[in-house]
Amino acid sequence: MNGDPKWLRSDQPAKQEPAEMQAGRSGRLMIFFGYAEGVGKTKAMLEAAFQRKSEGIDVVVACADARGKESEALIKGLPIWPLRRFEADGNISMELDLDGILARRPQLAVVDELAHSNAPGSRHPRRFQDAEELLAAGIDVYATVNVQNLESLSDIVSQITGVRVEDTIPDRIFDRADEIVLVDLPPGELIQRLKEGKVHHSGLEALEVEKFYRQGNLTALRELAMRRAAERIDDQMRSYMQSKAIVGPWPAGERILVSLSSHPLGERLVRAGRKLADELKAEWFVLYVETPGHLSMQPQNRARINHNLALAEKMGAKVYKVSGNSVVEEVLQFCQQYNITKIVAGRARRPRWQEIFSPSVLDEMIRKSGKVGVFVVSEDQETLEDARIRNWLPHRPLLRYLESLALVGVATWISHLIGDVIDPTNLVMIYLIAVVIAAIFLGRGPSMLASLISVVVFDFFIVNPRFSLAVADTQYLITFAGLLIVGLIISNSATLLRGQVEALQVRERHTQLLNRLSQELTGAATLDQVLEITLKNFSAVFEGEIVVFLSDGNHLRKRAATPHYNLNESETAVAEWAFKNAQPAGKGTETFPSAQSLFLPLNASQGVAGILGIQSQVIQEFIAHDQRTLLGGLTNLAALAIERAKFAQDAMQAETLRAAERLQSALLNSISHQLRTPLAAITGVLTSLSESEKARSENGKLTLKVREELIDSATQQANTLNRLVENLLAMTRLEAGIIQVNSQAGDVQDLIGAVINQMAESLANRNVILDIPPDLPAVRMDAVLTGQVLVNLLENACKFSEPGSPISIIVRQQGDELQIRVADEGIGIAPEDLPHIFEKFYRGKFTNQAAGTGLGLSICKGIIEAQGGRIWAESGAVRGAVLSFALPIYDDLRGEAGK
Amino acid sequence: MKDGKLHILVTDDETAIRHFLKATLSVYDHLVTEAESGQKTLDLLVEERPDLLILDLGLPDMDGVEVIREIRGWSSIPIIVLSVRNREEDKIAALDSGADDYLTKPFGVGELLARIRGVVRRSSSGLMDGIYQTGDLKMDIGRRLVTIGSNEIQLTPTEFDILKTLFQKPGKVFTHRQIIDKVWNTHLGDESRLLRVNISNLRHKIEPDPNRPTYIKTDLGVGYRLNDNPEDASPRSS
Repeated sequence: MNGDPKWLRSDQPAKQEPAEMQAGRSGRLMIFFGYAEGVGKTKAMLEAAFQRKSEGIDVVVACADARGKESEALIKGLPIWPLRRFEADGNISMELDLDGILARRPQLAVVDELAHSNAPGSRHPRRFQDAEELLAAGIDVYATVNVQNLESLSDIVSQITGVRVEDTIPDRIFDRADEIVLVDLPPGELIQRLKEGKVHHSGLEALEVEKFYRQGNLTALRELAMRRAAERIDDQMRSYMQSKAIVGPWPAGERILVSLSSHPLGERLVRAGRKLADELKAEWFVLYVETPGHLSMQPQNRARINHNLALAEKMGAKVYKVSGNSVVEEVLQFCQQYNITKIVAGRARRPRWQEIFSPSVLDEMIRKSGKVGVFVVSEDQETLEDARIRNWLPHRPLLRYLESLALVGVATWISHLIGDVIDPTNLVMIYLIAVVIAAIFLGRGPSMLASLISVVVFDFFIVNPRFSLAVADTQYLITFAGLLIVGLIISNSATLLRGQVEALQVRERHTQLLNRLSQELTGAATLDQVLEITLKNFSAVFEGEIVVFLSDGNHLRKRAATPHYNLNESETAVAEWAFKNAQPAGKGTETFPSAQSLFLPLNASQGVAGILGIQSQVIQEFIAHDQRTLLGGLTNLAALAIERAKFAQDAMQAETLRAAERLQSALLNSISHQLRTPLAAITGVLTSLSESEKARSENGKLTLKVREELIDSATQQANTLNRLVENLLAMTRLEAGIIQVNSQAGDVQDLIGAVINQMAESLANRNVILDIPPDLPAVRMDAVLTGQVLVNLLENACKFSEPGSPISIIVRQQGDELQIRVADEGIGIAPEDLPHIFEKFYRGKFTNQAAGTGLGLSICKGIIEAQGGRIWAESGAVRGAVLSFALPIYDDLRGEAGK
Repeated sequence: MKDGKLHILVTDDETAIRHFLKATLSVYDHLVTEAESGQKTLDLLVEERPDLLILDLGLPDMDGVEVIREIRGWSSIPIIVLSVRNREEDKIAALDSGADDYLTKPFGVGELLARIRGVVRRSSSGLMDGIYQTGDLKMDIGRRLVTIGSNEIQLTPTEFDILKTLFQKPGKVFTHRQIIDKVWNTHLGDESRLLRVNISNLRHKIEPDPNRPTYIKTDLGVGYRLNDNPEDASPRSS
């Protein structure tokens, strides 16, 4: 990275609407979002605006704080609407000219610093309100926002930085933005830019600037910004996934790679890849290999590539761009690294003779792909463009030396042809060209050989006397020396260049790996997700098995591992050592080098969060110096993400605990009331009976009738108490998961008969109407639990309707379930209560007069749902309530009874 | 055992329950002996030879089901289990190991007395052949004839065997397994379904209203019993 901000876009650029701008349409808002002043938001915004302008959009810069060379150059290319002068209390200030721009009606207005406060006298106190008015007028707006300007985050920001930010914008502005572009720059580079005076910071005192721009602060702000942006993307993705009915993450069975070139076939390849991925439910990747030939690529080809890559991203592919000499090599390397199982590639139509003489990239790919399947999409019509990619693959070493000799031969042949007209000293140049070609294409050895042989051949064939190594004119010795020295230098430097290019490629690959992990981790909300992503990425990079231990106070516990990770006690001891000493240990290190795995401490802000173990055959490669940064970077990312997720989890657990406590106290309140009421009644009856027994005169004695009444009421209360205790037990068992649902084929008619029989006493004064069709199929149920549900529903029906009013039980078959309804003609359920009555402790509006705990129906719901059924409530057709549940029909095709 | 007066052994580790049972049963002129452990129960059964055992399952020294198994090794004394355990597995375990009836706490005294009468009556009957009747339902085992009032009912052999099993001890709950053991000698694994379907068919043949069966009652999750008093509509809560 050379100081240019990296753009992470949340979406593709807005599809620009046609020029006719409808007044009724609200403008689109695109926010360029950064974590601090100086990351390059304004520049990015101006670049984007410039792009729009070059597309023919009517762009106006309403206000932009363009400082810095690049921004100034950009803004010069854009039409600027002058700021308006405001005068208040003798102060002069310049603000955005809202009325002027509204009258001018551009298609797109550029508004820098959305959080800015306008000078007194302006129409709106805040600039974001100006922007809102522009949007309402149908003008698209490009705007910049810093993370500390978001209302909901400003508190956190001031906690992190100690600097209070006054200018904030409401989050709704951020949330209504059609697109968020996250403009990012590593904190180190930002600090560098600050030191170089390239950062303009508004509204901060010099002291505050120092306080604000500290590495730690910036890293925290950066994460905050990324998370906020990721939340937005996450929402978009969720709604997308919902709208497309995509379920969950795709299983990692198949992994498909589309190898893309600039060929017009590209779009079809992408679509084919997507289709295949959908069919196989596979993760899919699109890889574009940038070869040196890319430099000379025609603009329309380049545009096509970008279009196709964007398309692939939109379709859900993970898009990678790598550079390398050979498409085939890069593709195959990528396959290995990402465990690709299938490649989709295109076959361009080529003349027959070409097929014979030079094998296509595809043929080579198929030949070398090994276990990876290659799917070929053929071109169905002749296309005019020639989009071949030159194949520069260095061949086998011996061949390369032979080729270098051939080059010298060709040079000699040319020299021979033109030797008569050109001075021999100039013919040396032809040999030098041969050496250069050899150096670039064939490597150091062959090119050095070419230099040496060139000298000999030049002497032998060109210099007089010909066909002899003798030299007549001694000045040719200088020519020889020159040819030799220049040749050798060229060989060497070309090789060095190659080395540098390769090193760059390696670095780019590392950056991509880091970005990939960081991006995925940003989207992970829970510890399990973080661990899953960590395992996935690490096992892809290291081609091995991964284990993660997390610290639990002072102990280390295995928390996650890939399926084939082989962990034994001695390995665990190595991990413990690495944890206690916060140093890498195991394979490839100086501590326990004989272990099978390498254990790396996950260093986070609060010390070692855990240990990551890697069991890999290629681990040695990664411990080599140039790869160590990758290892460190990956581990750090994982460590920070794990720590963050752990904090979040702890916070959530604390919250869950509090919620549980609240629930418990609610339960205690409810229960203590419900328990005491019948107990009080029973105690009352017993004590009055006891007093009556003790009374000496007839006066104090209760009459027989009163005694009977008292005893009846006490018995009733005791029953209530018993019912309550049973409900509480059932609830506790349900919640603790102790109730085991024993679903078997069951007969609903039998169930209803048994329940009615069991409740004969409470139903004595009721007309229970049974509507049960004959020959019902059996259902899948736990007869005992379902019986309890029916008892609860019937008791409710009794409780909430007048004694003597009818209760109906209706059974119907609906599709593959059997529905059982209990209908009463009582007070019914208030419409607003209907969705809630199955919630624990919920008491409906009409239930005040009837005793109950609010537990019965929630138990019913628990029981029915545990059996794969459903339960719901409705209001009766005329009055009363209908409570229904449905159970799945027992899927047994075998016939009737009998033996 | 004279004039319906019984010698009853009450086993329960709760003193309150023992005292309450002793007081209540004494009112009906039964003689009550108390035991608070499994071992004491076994000893007293040998020493005092009571007519009936009322047994709690949760005993300090051994589980009630163990006690029942032990007793059934050498005695056929009627046993009524009286327990707070109201799960069907517990009921099935007690009944399968040989208990005659099962009543969960809390219970009504009336219910307990009815159960006592029931088990005593069943223990005295035991004829295999002959004619049995409950309500209008009559079964002549020897002639393999089942009638409702004057109507003859055609039963399949399986239905007949099920009804015969229930008739052996009217009022007693037979667990699914007990019925299956008696009706099907082999275990094919499919008997539960066959039993359910046969009971349903049987009810359609003998019950006036199969939705509200009067003769064959279901004890949900436990088993079936023959109603020995169809005229009495009062429920049997268990």
